[in-house]
Amino acid sequence: MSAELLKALRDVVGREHVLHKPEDLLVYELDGTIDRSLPDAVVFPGNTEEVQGVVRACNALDVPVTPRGAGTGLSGGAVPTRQGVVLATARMRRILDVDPVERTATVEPGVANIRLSEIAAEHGLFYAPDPSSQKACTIGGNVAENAGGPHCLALGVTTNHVIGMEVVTASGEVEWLGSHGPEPTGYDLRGLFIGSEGTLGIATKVVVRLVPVPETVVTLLAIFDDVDSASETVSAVIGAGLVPAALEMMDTVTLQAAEAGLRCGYPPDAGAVLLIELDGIEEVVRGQVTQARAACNEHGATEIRTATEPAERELLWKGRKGAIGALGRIAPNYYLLDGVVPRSKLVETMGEVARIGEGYGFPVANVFHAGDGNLHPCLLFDEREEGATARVLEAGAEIMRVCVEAGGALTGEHGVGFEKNRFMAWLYSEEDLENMRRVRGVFGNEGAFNPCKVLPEGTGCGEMAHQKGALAAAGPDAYV
Amino acid sequence: MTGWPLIEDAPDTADLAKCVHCGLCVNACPTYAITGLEVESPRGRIHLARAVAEDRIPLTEAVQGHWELCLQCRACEAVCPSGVPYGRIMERARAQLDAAPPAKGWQRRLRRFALRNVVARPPVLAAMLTPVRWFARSPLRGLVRAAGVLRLIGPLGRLEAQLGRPGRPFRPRDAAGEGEVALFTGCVMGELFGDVHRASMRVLERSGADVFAPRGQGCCGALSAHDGDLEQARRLARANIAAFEASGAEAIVVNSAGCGAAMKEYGELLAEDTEFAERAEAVAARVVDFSEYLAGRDLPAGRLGARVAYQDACHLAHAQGISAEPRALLDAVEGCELVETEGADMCCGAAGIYSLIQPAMSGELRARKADQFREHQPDVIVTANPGCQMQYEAAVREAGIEARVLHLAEALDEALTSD
Amino acid sequence: MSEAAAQASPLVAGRAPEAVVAPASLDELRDLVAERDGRTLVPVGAGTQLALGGAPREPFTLVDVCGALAGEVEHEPADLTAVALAGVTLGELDAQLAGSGQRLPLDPPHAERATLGGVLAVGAGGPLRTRHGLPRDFVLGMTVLRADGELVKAGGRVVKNVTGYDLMRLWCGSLGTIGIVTSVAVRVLPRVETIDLRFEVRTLAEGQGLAERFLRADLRPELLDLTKEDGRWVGVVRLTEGAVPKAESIAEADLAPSSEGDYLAVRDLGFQKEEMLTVRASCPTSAIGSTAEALEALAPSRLLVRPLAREVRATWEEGSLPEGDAVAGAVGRLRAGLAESGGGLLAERIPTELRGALDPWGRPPTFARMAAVKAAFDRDGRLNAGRYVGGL
Ligand SMILES: Cc1cc2nc3c(=O)[nH]c(=O)nc-3n(C[C@H](O)[C@H](O)[C@H](O)COP(=O)(O)OP(=O)(O)OC[C@H]3O[C@@H](n4cnc5c(N)ncnc54)[C@H](O)[C@@H]3O)c2cc1C
Ligand SMILES: Cc1cc2nc3c(=O)[nH]c(=O)nc-3n(C[C@H](O)[C@H](O)[C@H](O)COP(=O)(O)OP(=O)(O)OC[C@H]3O[C@@H](n4cnc5c(N)ncnc54)[C@H](O)[C@@H]3O)c2cc1C
Ligand code: SF4
Ligand code: SF4
Repeated sequence: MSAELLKALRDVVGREHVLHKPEDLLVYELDGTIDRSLPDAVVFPGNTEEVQGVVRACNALDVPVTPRGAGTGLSGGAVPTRQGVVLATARMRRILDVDPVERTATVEPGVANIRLSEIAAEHGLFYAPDPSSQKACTIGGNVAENAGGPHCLALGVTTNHVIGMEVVTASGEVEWLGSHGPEPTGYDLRGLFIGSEGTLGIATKVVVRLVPVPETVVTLLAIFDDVDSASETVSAVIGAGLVPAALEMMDTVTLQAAEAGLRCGYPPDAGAVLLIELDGIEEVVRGQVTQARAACNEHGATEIRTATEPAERELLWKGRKGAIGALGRIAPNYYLLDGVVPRSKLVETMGEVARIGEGYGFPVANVFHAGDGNLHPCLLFDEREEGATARVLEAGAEIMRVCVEAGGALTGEHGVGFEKNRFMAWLYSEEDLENMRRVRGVFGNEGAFNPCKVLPEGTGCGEMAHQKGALAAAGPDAYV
Repeated sequence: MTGWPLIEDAPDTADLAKCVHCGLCVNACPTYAITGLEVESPRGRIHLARAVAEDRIPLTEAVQGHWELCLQCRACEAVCPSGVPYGRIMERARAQLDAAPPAKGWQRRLRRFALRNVVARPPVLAAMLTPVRWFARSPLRGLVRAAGVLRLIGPLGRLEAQLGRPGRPFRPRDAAGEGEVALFTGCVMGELFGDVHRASMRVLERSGADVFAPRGQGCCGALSAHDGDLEQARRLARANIAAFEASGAEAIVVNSAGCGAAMKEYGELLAEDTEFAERAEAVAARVVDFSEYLAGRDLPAGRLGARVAYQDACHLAHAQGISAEPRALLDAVEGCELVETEGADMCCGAAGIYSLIQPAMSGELRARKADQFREHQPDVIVTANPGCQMQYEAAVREAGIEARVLHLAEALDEALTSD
Repeated sequence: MSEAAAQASPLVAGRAPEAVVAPASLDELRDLVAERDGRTLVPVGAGTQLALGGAPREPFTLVDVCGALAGEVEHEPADLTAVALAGVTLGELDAQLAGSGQRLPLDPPHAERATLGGVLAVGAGGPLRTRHGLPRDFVLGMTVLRADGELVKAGGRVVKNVTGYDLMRLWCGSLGTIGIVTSVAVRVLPRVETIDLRFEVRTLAEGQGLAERFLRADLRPELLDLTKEDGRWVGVVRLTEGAVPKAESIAEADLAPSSEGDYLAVRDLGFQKEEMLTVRASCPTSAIGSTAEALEALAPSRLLVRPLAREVRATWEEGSLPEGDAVAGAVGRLRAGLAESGGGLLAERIPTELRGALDPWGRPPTFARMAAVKAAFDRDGRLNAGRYVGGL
């Protein structure tokens, strides 16, 4: 890194808030997924002005900037693809305001998702989007990825719950997008920024909507012999006119892992389970529970457990929320995918996914948001096996292809990032992509701000792709 | 190729490979909470270990520094969905430091000398601690503290700050005999916290247990293991295994969370020892925490009119997964009003000898506890680890509140005697 | 646009088009847009919402898109999705969805006649936004015809999707200034049995209190609108049947059955005629009372508060219009007051005699960025030029 850059960064945030020693930078080369690339420096601004100062300094020196929250992203969004500066929001973790009358909270971007519900609880409110990574992931990262979670089926994803934010744009300007509550006039720039994967700027303050805690919540765990009957039940529940708060599925492999690691009382020998959560006032929920149970029974549920007490429900959810990580217990590595298909194509797609896994010799674990067709197949493998990483990536690409061909999408919540940008052409024409590229121009991103994410190509991005190949070839050195 | 200097005690590649760098552990980590730096987070430390293992980077002073700042509280292990055995990785990573270019070599060597020659040898420890105990109880203490003399002499001053009100020592011979329940007496614990052992005995007896303290037992080895001195840790483990085998007790009750966690892992520690591997497993299987043992028994309710803030001991909550039992025991006590403080399950910063080596970080963590105490104003703070008790005494002073710090056994004992 | 509509309202914000064209197919529409004849193009759906916004830059051509964008709705009941061309009306769409017991819960004024493209272009919701949000919240994917004649798309047809930038949100509410919507994929919901109830309270604060209690008690009202009538506030609320007993117990007011007419009256309030003044303020909950008061000082014909959507709407009929200066002053003050919270005030309908006195939009602080958006997608300013915020 140039001495000039180091000095410029230190001038903005202070000496102690810039990392540049190789050992200190190492962990910032990765997030939760495959891609890796070492930054030249990591800076920790403490407020909006410092964020702006860092962005301007980097722009002046033509150095790429990559925002980073907790680094739990699953598409390489926080990986500094073209080196440069990682701008971490870890020092910006203040709760600025909780307003029970407006039912909003204003926080800095580094605040962990779970904190929002914690601080809202005393007002009988909560923050709805609940990614499984909620204990760690930041609201800034959620805004960037338009994160979802099990409870987004009825209540919507991040964009439905973030009302506004202060951002430092890629061009280095400070601006409010959206509002503190009401509906602003003009283009919905807030909606455009959410889900832009940190390529348009950095959110420095975020206003979220809080919603009242449901009066009654009932969680059902329905056990099935196979995935097909569970999938049919999903359709039946929807067909009955219910919109559950959550509708999640796990298959045998996942159940075994979750049970081994988390001991949450799942039946490890079942073929699949559905978690169905219904909420509202008791009078209404009661009827819905009856309907949901009937749908399960009709489609061959072998057992239905009902949890109404918070502790019992938490136990049922514990396994679901920890399921992906728990796969680490049954296999050295896993490659987690995020694809979406129309709900009616669930059964068919699952079959295809299983077939692909088998073809490559990788067991597949499935845990997913069945209610909205958002699949998370996990390919289990051992990176220490020669060429396994390369093959797992290939298998992943094939699965993505299947999702697209079923009329689905490349990602439901983890983002395109660097990981999937080369698949974008499967869904969009060159013109569509060019059209999206214009959005970057609007925020002053000439390609240097969080480069190589979302959209394919861009100068210098090739090396990462190459690194990916090298990674695969490197065997034990490469990991997922 | 690997960059580990001591291959035989290097972190296992399979252990390291388990980390899928999902980052779910970062917020559970106290050192990350304080610094906001991922290098000071579990994922960061594991990634460094991996980089050393893969020979991507040498074992530099900076790397060592990041590992040394780790409290080994294992909060990360408790939340890691992937089951990364972080404690084991870090013990082994630290074992490498001796062989690495000496960063702060003299300090480390001095520490190791102390751990091997003082703490692990009951008579020496007793001899060393007698003046300390005397000092702690003497009026001189107040004077010295006021004069701030001890501040000037570094670590000793810090040790002084943490000393509670040490009571009479308690040694195995004080409860010799036989029975079905063996009490583990430990090293520092028995010397400085004899009262806790006596309280434990009384409470266990009230639950109908037939308790005694087998001879021949000693330091559990946790402090050495955490410091990377695995050889010494194994030596101590073998001695304890022999002692407890000879005792014939069905349950080995441990009232110090750190010791309990270490002893439950004797099997792993001695996995490679052909003579001891199986015996270690068998003894480890009999180890139960004090609260864990009581949870399954009938204990009279007792009475304690106080606002009680229970603070999890890391090696109880995170390493042994025990957090509901102590709370339930307290909750059953009449008049006991349990208050949950934020971060009750976060490390207090005592962490064995950590507070002496990393006073700044330790102080930050203690300050967090002090803030909570100031906010919630408890009358009694209850925990389950001796080192933590000293740290909480200091936090209470820092908070400027009037609260007593008790071990769970002492709290229950008090409740039962006032009953 | 139907012929009748074209004859009835050939003016766009008071100005006459130079020509009215009605391409018969998407290709024709595309050719027309690609032509670059230097004219402003004003796309029209049902042709009923042309009073909104500023006057188009002249000369302009009215482009009736209904013929080009008419066609079958692809409804997938099992997926809870539907794909339709933008010329389809909400009424037509609803009829088809109803066949499978589903619905698209959007009810802007005169919903049955409005086209999907027009509804999304305007982006405003009706009473149902209290529970279901704005039109943009139902859009899964969209194809638009850009000002240079390129057809571009974003999103898809699955209910959860973050593949690429969320251009749908940018397009919704853009009043057709950065592209003509040609087709839309939407998320739909099951129909539910509901009951409309009517109640009366003395003050707005009481009405707001009731709304808050209903929300906190988890009754999930689909709509809850308050209008001022003869010094009292009359409310309409829509609930599921199961929620009624509990609602009655916490309402602190009598809940009486309400007629379809009550609902339609609040839905269409402010849009009954062309020549009327209608303004809508979007404000924080804490400012609803003061905003309503400020508007009331100008003696509106009707005042509507949608408390849970934080919306206040006032309307003046011909004959009882306020003075231009008075209304401009009040609007200016309200806009300034709302600026801090990021809210805004929109003059949705401006009668001819007040056109000169009022800026329909006001100028948001992000105007420069909005101008950059317009420039990025319609460099020459061909689509609806002059009609949007700040004359974009
Ligand atoms: C085990 C596991 C489970 C998960 N479950 C879910 C789930 O259920 N649902 C879901 O949606 N996701 C899930 N994720 C993915 C991930 O947690 C989310 O994408 C999350 O939003 C990322 O937040 P982060 O703070 O870790 O962001 P990072 O990974 O640090 O960054 C993600 C992106 O956000 C950008 N960014 C970060 N902060 C800002 C900011 N302040 N302003 C602008 N851009 C910023 C970065 O540049 C990057 O592009 C899961 C991940 C893991 C590891
Ligand atoms: C008489 C009447 C008055 C109304 N007044 C209002 C009002 O003042 N405020 C309000 O919020 N709602 C109003 N509405 C609500 C209205 O129902 C919808 O919001 C919607 O605008 C009407 O659709 P339309 O097809 O009539 O649109 P139109 O009136 O034809 O067009 C509305 C706007 O959308 C643009 N547009 C139309 N089709 C497309 C397309 N395919 N692609 C891109 N842009 C397009 C037009 O250029 C125009 O700017 C009114 C409805 C009616 C029937
Ligand atoms: S230690 Fe566990 S929780 Fe932490 S990053 Fe590794 S796998 Fe994830
Ligand atoms: S043991 Fe404690 S301090 Fe060390 S990395 Fe884990 S959580 Fe952090």
